[in-house]
Amino acid sequence: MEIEEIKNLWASQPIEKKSKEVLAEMLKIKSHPVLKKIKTQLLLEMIAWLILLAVYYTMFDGEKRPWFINFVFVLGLLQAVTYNLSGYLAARNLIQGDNLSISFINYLRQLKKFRSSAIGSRLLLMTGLLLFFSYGHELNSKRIIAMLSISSIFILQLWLLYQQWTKRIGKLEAISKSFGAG
Amino acid sequence: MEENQFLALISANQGIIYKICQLYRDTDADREDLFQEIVFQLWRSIDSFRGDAKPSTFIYRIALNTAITAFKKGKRAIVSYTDQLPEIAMEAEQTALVQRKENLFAAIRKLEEADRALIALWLDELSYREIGEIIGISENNVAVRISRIKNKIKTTLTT
Repeated sequence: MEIEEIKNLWASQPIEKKSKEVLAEMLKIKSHPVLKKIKTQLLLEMIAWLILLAVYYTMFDGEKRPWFINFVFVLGLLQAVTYNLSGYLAARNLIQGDNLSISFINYLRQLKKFRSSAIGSRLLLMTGLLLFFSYGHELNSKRIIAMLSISSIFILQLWLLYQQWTKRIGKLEAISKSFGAG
Repeated sequence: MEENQFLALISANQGIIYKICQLYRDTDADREDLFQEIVFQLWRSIDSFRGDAKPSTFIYRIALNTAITAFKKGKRAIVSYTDQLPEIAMEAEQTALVQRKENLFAAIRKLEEADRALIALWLDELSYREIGEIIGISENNVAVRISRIKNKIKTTLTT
């Protein structure tokens, strides 16, 4: 196939035109294919954390625990809420520069920061929860096994989270290099 | 920019978005999602469009950027269908034309993401300078790479 024919075939590709009404609908977050789901999921998660924050002091004997245990617990929950919110806002910003190469470099930098903060945020949340609910209980072999099991699940979760981010970053890094960026 | 003006701009240039979706997604559902994501990102970025470049150049940049960085949903089965029954007496010539177009798009889809972007811009008659501005590489680099990609496509189409 010759170049001219390739150009003609490309130019004659039929386009399925969308009406202005359909295009207008696409500008709204409530009809966005990905953001709508992220928003719902994050809202539910944040509501659950906030409810726990509101009731933990009386329902889960927060008053009987020392201040630093309460502090780590509250800090863990609050930063999880804040992190979720900032992640949602960042997910809306895919364009990070005046050309593709710059945009990819900036986007990758942001993803790497998010990988670290996602792991840090989850670690702090898990530490707060473990400390709070294990404090004051006498440690016998059953409890130690239970705590070790829960900690192992938490660590596995962290590892999976790290792998997920690393895979996505690696893929984008390869694409970024093939564009001639960084 | 007012919403009405923006919609008129997108409506007039939606062929660009349509073709990018064809090149970067494999199923109709994924293409539809990407189309919407691109329009959404264009709307978010429109205030950064200063008018010193052509609107189509701006649309290409945002569309390609979005196509490559946007999250894809999980794998979807590739099902193709039409809402019309095939004409039994479809002209052989027309069938061949459709087949050649499909072959061309398939050959472009086999390229790496960066090469797909470069060739799409070149096929839509953008100058090397415009392509360089969108990608962020020099005109010389564009010329060398386009020449290499053309050869790759020709080889794919002849094998």
